[in-house]
Amino acid sequence: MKWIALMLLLLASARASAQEKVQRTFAVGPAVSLRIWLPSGHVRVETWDKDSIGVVGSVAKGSTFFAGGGQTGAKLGVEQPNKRATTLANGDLVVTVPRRAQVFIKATNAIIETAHTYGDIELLTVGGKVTVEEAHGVVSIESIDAPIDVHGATGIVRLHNGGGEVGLRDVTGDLTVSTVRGGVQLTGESLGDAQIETVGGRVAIDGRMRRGAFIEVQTHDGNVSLRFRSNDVPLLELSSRGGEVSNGLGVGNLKVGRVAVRSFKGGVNAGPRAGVEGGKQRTNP
Amino acid sequence: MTCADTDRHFDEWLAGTLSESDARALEAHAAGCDACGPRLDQASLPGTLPTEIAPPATLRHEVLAAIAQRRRPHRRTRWLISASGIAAVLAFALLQQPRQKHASDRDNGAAILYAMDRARAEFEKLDAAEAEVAVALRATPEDRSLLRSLEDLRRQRAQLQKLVREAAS
Repeated sequence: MKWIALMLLLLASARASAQEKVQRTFAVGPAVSLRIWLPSGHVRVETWDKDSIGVVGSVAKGSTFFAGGGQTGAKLGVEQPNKRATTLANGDLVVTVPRRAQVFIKATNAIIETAHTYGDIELLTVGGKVTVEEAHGVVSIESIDAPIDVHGATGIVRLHNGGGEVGLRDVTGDLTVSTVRGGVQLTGESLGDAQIETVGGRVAIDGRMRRGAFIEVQTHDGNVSLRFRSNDVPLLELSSRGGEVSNGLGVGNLKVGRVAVRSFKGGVNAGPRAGVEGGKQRTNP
Repeated sequence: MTCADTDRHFDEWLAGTLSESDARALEAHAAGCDACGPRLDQASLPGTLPTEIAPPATLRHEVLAAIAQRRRPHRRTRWLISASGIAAVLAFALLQQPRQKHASDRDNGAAILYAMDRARAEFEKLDAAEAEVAVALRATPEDRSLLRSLEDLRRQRAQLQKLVREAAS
Protein backbone atom coordinates (compact mmCIF):
# COMPACT_ATOMS: atom_id res chain seq x y z
CA MET A 1 0.00 0.00 0.00
CA LYS A 2 2.86 2.36 0.85
CA TRP A 3 4.34 1.81 -2.59
CA ILE A 4 1.03 2.56 -4.29
CA ALA A 5 0.62 5.72 -2.23
CA LEU A 6 4.18 6.78 -3.11
CA MET A 7 3.58 6.15 -6.80
CA LEU A 8 0.37 8.18 -6.72
CA LEU A 9 2.22 11.00 -4.98
CA LEU A 10 4.97 10.95 -7.59
CA LEU A 11 2.42 10.98 -10.39
CA ALA A 12 0.61 13.91 -8.81
CA SER A 13 3.90 15.80 -8.45
CA ALA A 14 4.79 15.13 -12.08
CA ARG A 15 1.39 16.40 -13.14
CA ALA A 16 1.72 19.50 -11.01
CA SER A 17 5.15 20.27 -12.42
CA ALA A 18 3.72 19.94 -15.94
CA GLN A 19 1.64 23.04 -15.28
CA GLU A 20 2.73 26.64 -15.04
CA LYS A 21 1.11 28.85 -12.44
CA VAL A 22 -0.47 32.12 -13.44
CA GLN A 23 -1.03 35.09 -11.18
CA ARG A 24 -1.52 38.52 -12.69
CA THR A 25 -3.35 41.74 -11.87
CA PHE A 26 -3.61 44.81 -14.06
CA ALA A 27 -5.54 48.07 -13.91
CA VAL A 28 -8.49 48.71 -16.23
CA GLY A 29 -11.56 50.94 -16.38
CA PRO A 30 -14.78 50.06 -14.53
CA ALA A 31 -16.64 49.16 -17.73
CA VAL A 32 -13.73 47.56 -19.55
CA SER A 33 -14.40 45.30 -22.50
CA LEU A 34 -12.46 42.09 -21.89
CA ARG A 35 -11.80 39.37 -24.44
CA ILE A 36 -10.75 35.97 -23.16
CA TRP A 37 -9.34 33.29 -25.39
CA LEU A 38 -9.15 29.74 -24.02
CA PRO A 39 -9.08 26.87 -26.51
CA SER A 40 -9.53 24.20 -23.84
CA GLY A 41 -9.61 23.86 -20.08
CA HIS A 42 -11.64 25.81 -17.57
CA VAL A 43 -12.34 29.48 -17.02
CA ARG A 44 -14.42 31.08 -14.31
CA VAL A 45 -15.29 34.76 -14.40
CA GLU A 46 -16.19 36.51 -11.15
CA THR A 47 -16.64 40.18 -10.35
CA TRP A 48 -15.43 42.60 -7.71
CA ASP A 49 -15.64 46.29 -6.87
CA LYS A 50 -12.16 47.17 -8.10
CA ASP A 51 -10.98 48.76 -11.33
CA SER A 52 -8.62 45.94 -12.15
CA ILE A 53 -8.55 42.45 -13.58
CA GLY A 54 -7.09 39.64 -11.53
CA VAL A 55 -6.13 36.26 -12.95
CA VAL A 56 -5.05 33.20 -11.00
CA GLY A 57 -4.70 29.64 -12.21
CA SER A 58 -2.41 27.57 -14.34
CA VAL A 59 -1.63 26.72 -17.93
CA ALA A 60 -0.68 23.30 -19.24
CA LYS A 61 2.85 22.48 -20.28
CA GLY A 62 3.47 23.79 -23.77
CA SER A 63 0.80 26.47 -23.50
CA THR A 64 1.53 30.09 -22.63
CA PHE A 65 -0.51 32.76 -20.93
CA PHE A 66 -0.90 36.27 -22.29
CA ALA A 67 -2.68 39.33 -20.90
CA GLY A 68 -2.79 43.05 -21.43
CA GLY A 69 -5.01 46.04 -21.85
CA GLY A 70 -5.97 49.50 -20.71
CA GLN A 71 -8.92 51.51 -19.49
CA THR A 72 -11.45 50.51 -22.12
CA GLY A 73 -10.21 47.23 -23.55
CA ALA A 74 -8.23 44.22 -22.40
CA LYS A 75 -7.56 40.70 -23.49
CA LEU A 76 -6.07 37.61 -21.98
CA GLY A 77 -5.87 33.95 -22.70
CA VAL A 78 -3.88 30.86 -23.33
CA GLU A 79 -2.19 30.02 -26.59
CA GLN A 80 -0.08 27.30 -28.13
CA PRO A 81 3.23 28.78 -29.34
CA ASN A 82 4.47 25.54 -30.85
CA LYS A 83 3.41 25.51 -34.48
CA ARG A 84 3.71 21.73 -34.69
CA ALA A 85 1.56 21.05 -31.63
CA THR A 86 -1.50 18.97 -32.35
CA THR A 87 -3.32 19.67 -29.12
CA LEU A 88 -5.31 22.71 -28.14
CA ALA A 89 -3.77 25.20 -25.72
CA ASN A 90 -5.07 24.46 -22.25
CA GLY A 91 -5.50 26.43 -19.06
CA ASP A 92 -7.41 26.64 -15.82
CA LEU A 93 -8.14 30.27 -14.95
CA VAL A 94 -10.19 32.25 -12.47
CA VAL A 95 -10.60 35.77 -13.81
CA THR A 96 -12.01 38.50 -11.59
CA VAL A 97 -13.24 41.59 -13.39
CA PRO A 98 -14.87 44.91 -12.48
CA ARG A 99 -18.57 44.38 -11.82
CA ARG A 100 -19.70 46.26 -14.93
CA ALA A 101 -17.10 44.79 -17.29
CA GLN A 102 -18.23 43.42 -20.62
CA VAL A 103 -16.79 39.98 -21.13
CA PHE A 104 -16.35 38.04 -24.34
CA ILE A 105 -15.01 34.48 -24.07
CA LYS A 106 -14.08 32.34 -26.99
CA ALA A 107 -13.24 28.68 -26.45
CA THR A 108 -13.18 25.47 -28.41
CA ASN A 109 -13.70 22.80 -25.80
CA ALA A 110 -13.75 24.39 -22.38
CA ILE A 111 -15.79 24.67 -19.22
CA ILE A 112 -16.93 28.27 -18.93
CA GLU A 113 -18.49 29.71 -15.80
CA THR A 114 -19.56 33.27 -15.03
CA ALA A 115 -21.10 34.58 -11.83
CA HIS A 116 -22.61 37.87 -10.60
CA THR A 117 -21.93 39.89 -13.72
CA TYR A 118 -23.57 43.25 -14.45
CA GLY A 119 -22.05 43.96 -17.86
CA ASP A 120 -22.91 42.13 -21.08
CA ILE A 121 -21.39 38.72 -21.55
CA GLU A 122 -20.85 36.91 -24.81
CA LEU A 123 -19.66 33.30 -24.80
CA LEU A 124 -18.72 31.18 -27.78
CA THR A 125 -17.57 27.58 -27.56
CA VAL A 126 -17.84 24.48 -29.68
CA GLY A 127 -18.02 21.95 -26.84
CA GLY A 128 -17.40 21.76 -23.12
CA LYS A 129 -19.93 23.25 -20.72
CA VAL A 130 -21.30 26.71 -20.02
CA THR A 131 -22.76 27.90 -16.72
CA VAL A 132 -24.00 31.43 -16.15
CA GLU A 133 -25.16 32.48 -12.68
CA GLU A 134 -26.74 35.79 -11.73
CA ALA A 135 -26.20 37.77 -14.91
CA HIS A 136 -27.70 41.25 -15.07
CA GLY A 137 -26.56 42.40 -18.51
CA VAL A 138 -27.25 40.97 -21.93
CA VAL A 139 -26.21 37.32 -22.15
CA SER A 140 -25.34 35.84 -25.51
CA ILE A 141 -24.16 32.24 -25.77
CA GLU A 142 -23.37 30.24 -28.88
CA SER A 143 -22.28 26.63 -28.92
CA ILE A 144 -22.43 23.52 -31.04
CA ASP A 145 -22.92 20.90 -28.39
CA ALA A 146 -21.98 22.25 -24.97
CA PRO A 147 -24.64 21.91 -22.27
CA ILE A 148 -25.70 25.40 -21.21
CA ASP A 149 -27.11 26.35 -17.81
CA VAL A 150 -28.32 29.82 -17.02
CA HIS A 151 -29.82 30.65 -13.67
CA GLY A 152 -30.76 34.04 -12.45
CA ALA A 153 -30.61 36.29 -15.53
CA THR A 154 -32.44 39.60 -15.52
CA GLY A 155 -31.34 40.98 -18.88
CA ILE A 156 -31.87 39.81 -22.43
CA VAL A 157 -30.68 36.23 -22.99
CA ARG A 158 -29.89 34.87 -26.44
CA LEU A 159 -28.75 31.27 -26.90
CA HIS A 160 -27.90 29.27 -29.98
CA ASN A 161 -26.95 25.66 -29.50
CA GLY A 162 -26.71 22.53 -31.59
CA GLY A 163 -26.88 19.32 -29.63
CA GLY A 164 -26.25 20.53 -26.09
CA GLU A 165 -29.01 20.63 -23.50
CA VAL A 166 -30.13 24.07 -22.35
CA GLY A 167 -31.30 24.62 -18.77
CA LEU A 168 -32.82 27.99 -17.82
CA ARG A 169 -33.88 28.81 -14.30
CA ASP A 170 -35.26 32.15 -13.10
CA VAL A 171 -34.58 33.94 -16.35
CA THR A 172 -36.81 37.00 -16.22
CA GLY A 173 -35.55 39.02 -19.18
CA ASP A 174 -36.50 38.48 -22.80
CA LEU A 175 -35.30 35.09 -23.93
CA THR A 176 -34.46 33.66 -27.33
CA VAL A 177 -33.30 30.06 -27.58
CA SER A 178 -32.54 28.06 -30.67
CA THR A 179 -31.21 24.49 -30.75
CA VAL A 180 -31.00 21.65 -33.24
CA ARG A 181 -31.07 18.49 -31.11
CA GLY A 182 -30.59 19.96 -27.67
CA GLY A 183 -33.49 19.96 -25.25
CA VAL A 184 -34.62 23.14 -23.51
CA GLN A 185 -35.85 23.27 -19.93
CA LEU A 186 -37.32 26.55 -18.69
CA THR A 187 -38.35 26.94 -15.07
CA GLY A 188 -39.10 29.93 -12.87
CA GLU A 189 -41.72 31.87 -10.96
CA SER A 190 -41.74 34.89 -13.26
CA LEU A 191 -41.28 33.65 -16.81
CA GLY A 192 -40.97 36.54 -19.26
CA ASP A 193 -41.28 36.77 -23.01
CA ALA A 194 -39.54 33.85 -24.66
CA GLN A 195 -39.04 32.43 -28.08
CA ILE A 196 -37.88 28.81 -28.07
CA GLU A 197 -37.08 27.00 -31.25
CA THR A 198 -35.68 23.50 -31.64
CA VAL A 199 -35.60 20.91 -34.37
CA GLY A 200 -35.50 17.73 -32.33
CA GLY A 201 -34.95 18.74 -28.74
CA ARG A 202 -37.53 18.26 -26.00
CA VAL A 203 -38.95 21.47 -24.58
CA ALA A 204 -40.14 21.51 -20.97
CA ILE A 205 -41.62 24.61 -19.36
CA ASP A 206 -42.54 24.50 -15.70
CA GLY A 207 -43.41 27.61 -13.75
CA ARG A 208 -45.46 30.74 -13.48
CA MET A 209 -45.69 33.48 -16.07
CA ARG A 210 -45.19 37.16 -15.59
CA ARG A 211 -48.49 38.94 -16.33
CA GLY A 212 -48.89 39.52 -20.05
CA ALA A 213 -45.82 37.55 -21.04
CA PHE A 214 -45.79 35.60 -24.30
CA ILE A 215 -43.90 32.35 -24.80
CA GLU A 216 -43.62 30.96 -28.30
CA VAL A 217 -42.36 27.42 -28.85
CA GLN A 218 -41.63 25.79 -32.15
CA THR A 219 -40.28 22.28 -32.79
CA HIS A 220 -39.96 19.91 -35.68
CA ASP A 221 -40.20 16.58 -33.88
CA GLY A 222 -39.28 17.54 -30.34
CA ASN A 223 -41.95 16.92 -27.71
CA VAL A 224 -43.23 19.83 -25.67
CA SER A 225 -44.28 19.66 -22.03
CA LEU A 226 -46.02 22.58 -20.31
CA ARG A 227 -46.60 22.66 -16.57
CA PHE A 228 -48.53 25.50 -14.93
CA ARG A 229 -50.54 25.83 -11.75
CA SER A 230 -54.12 24.87 -12.49
CA ASN A 231 -55.49 28.19 -11.18
CA ASP A 232 -52.94 30.25 -13.07
CA VAL A 233 -53.00 29.00 -16.63
CA PRO A 234 -51.97 31.27 -19.51
CA LEU A 235 -53.87 31.23 -22.78
CA LEU A 236 -52.71 28.06 -24.53
CA GLU A 237 -52.56 27.72 -28.30
CA LEU A 238 -51.24 24.24 -29.00
CA SER A 239 -50.88 22.59 -32.38
CA SER A 240 -48.96 19.73 -33.95
CA ARG A 241 -49.33 18.52 -37.50
CA GLY A 242 -48.36 14.92 -36.80
CA GLY A 243 -47.99 14.64 -33.04
CA GLU A 244 -50.47 14.10 -30.26
CA VAL A 245 -51.76 17.18 -28.43
CA SER A 246 -53.15 16.74 -24.92
CA ASN A 247 -54.26 19.62 -22.76
CA GLY A 248 -55.14 18.97 -19.14
CA LEU A 249 -55.25 22.65 -18.24
CA GLY A 250 -57.98 24.06 -20.47
CA VAL A 251 -57.75 27.07 -22.72
CA GLY A 252 -56.36 29.38 -20.03
CA ASN A 253 -56.52 33.10 -19.53
CA LEU A 254 -54.86 35.79 -21.63
CA LYS A 255 -54.50 37.99 -18.55
CA VAL A 256 -52.12 35.44 -17.07
CA GLY A 257 -50.07 35.29 -20.26
CA ARG A 258 -49.99 33.46 -23.56
CA VAL A 259 -48.19 30.34 -24.73
CA ALA A 260 -48.23 29.30 -28.39
CA VAL A 261 -46.76 25.93 -29.36
CA ARG A 262 -46.37 24.79 -32.93
CA SER A 263 -44.80 21.48 -33.92
CA PHE A 264 -44.43 19.53 -37.13
CA LYS A 265 -44.71 16.10 -35.56
CA GLY A 266 -43.73 16.43 -31.92
CA GLY A 267 -46.19 15.68 -29.14
CA VAL A 268 -47.53 18.50 -26.97
CA ASN A 269 -48.66 17.92 -23.42
CA ALA A 270 -50.01 20.50 -20.97
CA GLY A 271 -50.77 19.66 -17.35
CA PRO A 272 -50.59 20.87 -13.76
CA ARG A 273 -47.26 21.31 -12.02
CA ALA A 274 -46.12 18.36 -9.97
CA GLY A 275 -46.37 18.95 -6.24
CA VAL A 276 -48.33 22.17 -6.66
CA GLU A 277 -52.10 22.25 -6.27
CA GLY A 278 -54.05 25.43 -6.96
CA GLY A 279 -51.13 27.66 -6.16
CA LYS A 280 -50.20 26.09 -2.82
CA GLN A 281 -47.32 23.77 -2.33
CA ARG A 282 -48.46 20.31 -1.24
CA THR A 283 -47.31 19.37 2.20
CA ASN A 284 -47.24 16.01 3.82
CA PRO A 285 -49.78 15.55 6.66
CA MET B 1 -28.13 49.66 -40.65
CA THR B 2 -30.39 50.09 -43.66
CA CYS B 3 -31.04 48.03 -46.78
CA ALA B 4 -28.54 50.24 -48.61
CA ASP B 5 -25.92 49.43 -45.96
CA THR B 6 -26.65 45.73 -46.46
CA ASP B 7 -26.01 46.16 -50.19
CA ARG B 8 -22.77 47.98 -49.50
CA HIS B 9 -21.42 45.51 -46.93
CA PHE B 10 -22.93 42.27 -48.19
CA ASP B 11 -19.79 40.93 -49.86
CA GLU B 12 -17.63 41.73 -46.86
CA TRP B 13 -20.15 40.06 -44.56
CA LEU B 14 -20.21 36.95 -46.72
CA ALA B 15 -16.42 36.80 -46.87
CA GLY B 16 -16.19 37.26 -43.10
CA THR B 17 -14.09 40.39 -43.42
CA LEU B 18 -16.68 42.79 -42.01
CA SER B 19 -15.91 43.97 -38.49
CA GLU B 20 -17.70 42.08 -35.75
CA SER B 21 -19.81 45.07 -34.69
CA ASP B 22 -20.83 45.88 -38.27
CA ALA B 23 -21.61 42.23 -38.96
CA ARG B 24 -23.83 42.08 -35.90
CA ALA B 25 -25.57 45.31 -36.88
CA LEU B 26 -26.14 44.00 -40.40
CA GLU B 27 -27.51 40.70 -39.09
CA ALA B 28 -29.73 42.52 -36.62
CA HIS B 29 -31.16 44.60 -39.46
CA ALA B 30 -31.60 41.53 -41.66
CA ALA B 31 -33.38 39.65 -38.88
CA GLY B 32 -36.22 42.15 -39.02
CA CYS B 33 -36.14 42.97 -42.73
CA ASP B 34 -38.17 41.00 -45.25
CA ALA B 35 -35.83 41.96 -48.10
CA CYS B 36 -32.43 41.48 -46.46
CA GLY B 37 -33.25 38.52 -44.17
CA PRO B 38 -33.87 35.95 -46.92
CA ARG B 39 -30.86 37.30 -48.83
CA LEU B 40 -28.51 36.58 -45.93
CA ASP B 41 -30.14 33.21 -45.24
CA GLN B 42 -29.89 32.19 -48.88
CA ALA B 43 -26.27 33.29 -49.12
CA SER B 44 -25.40 31.15 -46.11
CA LEU B 45 -26.70 27.96 -47.68
CA PRO B 46 -24.22 25.50 -49.16
CA GLY B 47 -23.88 25.82 -52.88
CA THR B 48 -24.62 29.53 -52.91
CA LEU B 49 -21.21 30.77 -51.88
CA PRO B 50 -19.39 32.90 -54.40
CA THR B 51 -16.94 31.00 -56.53
CA GLU B 52 -13.87 32.66 -55.04
CA ILE B 53 -14.55 31.06 -51.65
CA ALA B 54 -16.26 27.90 -52.81
CA PRO B 55 -14.48 24.72 -51.69
CA PRO B 56 -11.90 23.24 -54.05
CA ALA B 57 -13.02 19.91 -55.54
CA THR B 58 -10.17 17.96 -53.89
CA LEU B 59 -11.04 19.30 -50.47
CA ARG B 60 -14.63 18.16 -50.80
CA HIS B 61 -13.45 14.73 -51.88
CA GLU B 62 -11.16 14.47 -48.86
CA VAL B 63 -13.87 15.50 -46.44
CA LEU B 64 -16.34 13.07 -48.00
CA ALA B 65 -13.80 10.26 -47.84
CA ALA B 66 -13.17 10.93 -44.16
CA ILE B 67 -16.87 11.05 -43.41
CA ALA B 68 -17.58 7.89 -45.43
CA GLN B 69 -15.69 5.83 -42.87
CA ARG B 70 -18.41 6.41 -40.34
CA ARG B 71 -21.54 6.84 -42.42
CA ARG B 72 -24.31 4.33 -42.92
CA PRO B 73 -25.05 3.37 -46.55
CA HIS B 74 -28.71 4.43 -46.65
CA ARG B 75 -27.80 7.93 -45.57
CA ARG B 76 -25.56 8.63 -48.50
CA THR B 77 -27.67 11.46 -49.90
CA ARG B 78 -27.96 13.17 -46.53
CA TRP B 79 -24.23 12.92 -45.99
CA LEU B 80 -23.52 14.45 -49.36
CA ILE B 81 -25.66 17.43 -48.43
CA SER B 82 -24.13 17.69 -44.96
CA ALA B 83 -20.61 17.20 -46.23
CA SER B 84 -20.98 19.89 -48.86
CA GLY B 85 -22.08 22.28 -46.13
CA ILE B 86 -19.18 21.29 -43.92
CA ALA B 87 -16.75 21.48 -46.83
CA ALA B 88 -17.93 24.98 -47.66
CA VAL B 89 -17.37 26.04 -44.08
CA LEU B 90 -13.96 24.39 -44.01
CA ALA B 91 -12.92 26.06 -47.23
CA PHE B 92 -14.06 29.38 -45.87
CA ALA B 93 -12.07 28.82 -42.70
CA LEU B 94 -8.93 27.78 -44.55
CA LEU B 95 -9.14 30.84 -46.73
CA GLN B 96 -9.14 32.95 -43.59
CA GLN B 97 -5.81 31.51 -42.46
CA PRO B 98 -3.41 33.80 -44.36
CA ARG B 99 -4.99 36.84 -42.69
CA GLN B 100 -4.46 35.49 -39.20
CA LYS B 101 -1.56 37.02 -37.32
CA HIS B 102 -1.92 36.17 -33.67
CA ALA B 103 -0.19 33.09 -32.30
CA SER B 104 -3.47 31.83 -30.89
CA ASP B 105 -4.79 31.51 -34.42
CA ARG B 106 -2.60 28.43 -34.82
CA ASP B 107 -5.19 26.63 -32.78
CA ASN B 108 -7.73 27.27 -35.49
CA GLY B 109 -6.84 24.22 -37.56
CA ALA B 110 -7.66 21.94 -34.67
CA ALA B 111 -10.65 24.10 -33.73
CA ILE B 112 -12.30 23.96 -37.13
CA LEU B 113 -11.85 20.19 -37.38
CA TYR B 114 -13.25 19.75 -33.90
CA ALA B 115 -16.18 22.06 -34.69
CA MET B 116 -16.96 20.21 -37.91
CA ASP B 117 -16.88 16.88 -36.15
CA ARG B 118 -19.23 18.08 -33.42
CA ALA B 119 -21.57 19.80 -35.89
CA ARG B 120 -21.99 16.76 -38.11
CA ALA B 121 -24.89 15.26 -36.17
CA GLU B 122 -26.64 18.63 -36.16
CA PHE B 123 -26.35 19.02 -39.92
CA GLU B 124 -27.71 15.48 -40.28
CA LYS B 125 -30.68 16.31 -38.08
CA LEU B 126 -31.41 19.44 -40.09
CA ASP B 127 -31.16 17.47 -43.34
CA ALA B 128 -33.64 14.91 -42.09
CA ALA B 129 -36.09 17.55 -40.88
CA GLU B 130 -35.86 19.54 -44.11
CA ALA B 131 -36.48 16.36 -46.13
CA GLU B 132 -39.63 15.59 -44.11
CA VAL B 133 -41.01 19.08 -44.55
CA ALA B 134 -40.19 18.98 -48.26
CA VAL B 135 -42.16 15.74 -48.64
CA ALA B 136 -45.15 17.29 -46.86
CA LEU B 137 -44.87 20.36 -49.07
CA ARG B 138 -45.19 18.25 -52.19
CA ALA B 139 -48.69 17.32 -51.08
CA THR B 140 -49.66 20.88 -50.11
CA PRO B 141 -47.27 23.28 -51.84
CA GLU B 142 -49.12 26.40 -50.69
CA ASP B 143 -49.19 25.48 -47.01
CA ARG B 144 -47.85 28.60 -45.30
CA SER B 145 -47.09 26.80 -42.08
CA LEU B 146 -44.88 24.31 -43.90
CA LEU B 147 -43.20 27.03 -45.92
CA ARG B 148 -42.44 28.85 -42.68
CA SER B 149 -41.08 25.65 -41.13
CA LEU B 150 -38.77 25.12 -44.09
CA GLU B 151 -37.60 28.72 -43.88
CA ASP B 152 -36.95 28.32 -40.14
CA LEU B 153 -34.94 25.14 -40.69
CA ARG B 154 -32.82 26.87 -43.31
CA ARG B 155 -32.24 29.76 -40.96
CA GLN B 156 -31.10 27.35 -38.28
CA ARG B 157 -28.72 25.73 -40.76
CA ALA B 158 -27.30 29.16 -41.58
CA GLN B 159 -26.85 29.84 -37.86
CA LEU B 160 -25.00 26.58 -37.40
CA GLN B 161 -22.74 27.26 -40.38
CA LYS B 162 -22.01 30.70 -38.98
CA LEU B 163 -21.12 29.15 -35.67
CA VAL B 164 -18.66 26.72 -37.23
CA ARG B 165 -17.15 29.62 -39.18
CA GLU B 166 -16.83 31.68 -36.01
CA ALA B 167 -15.04 28.81 -34.30
CA ALA B 168 -12.29 29.20 -36.85
CA SER B 169 -12.19 32.96 -37.18
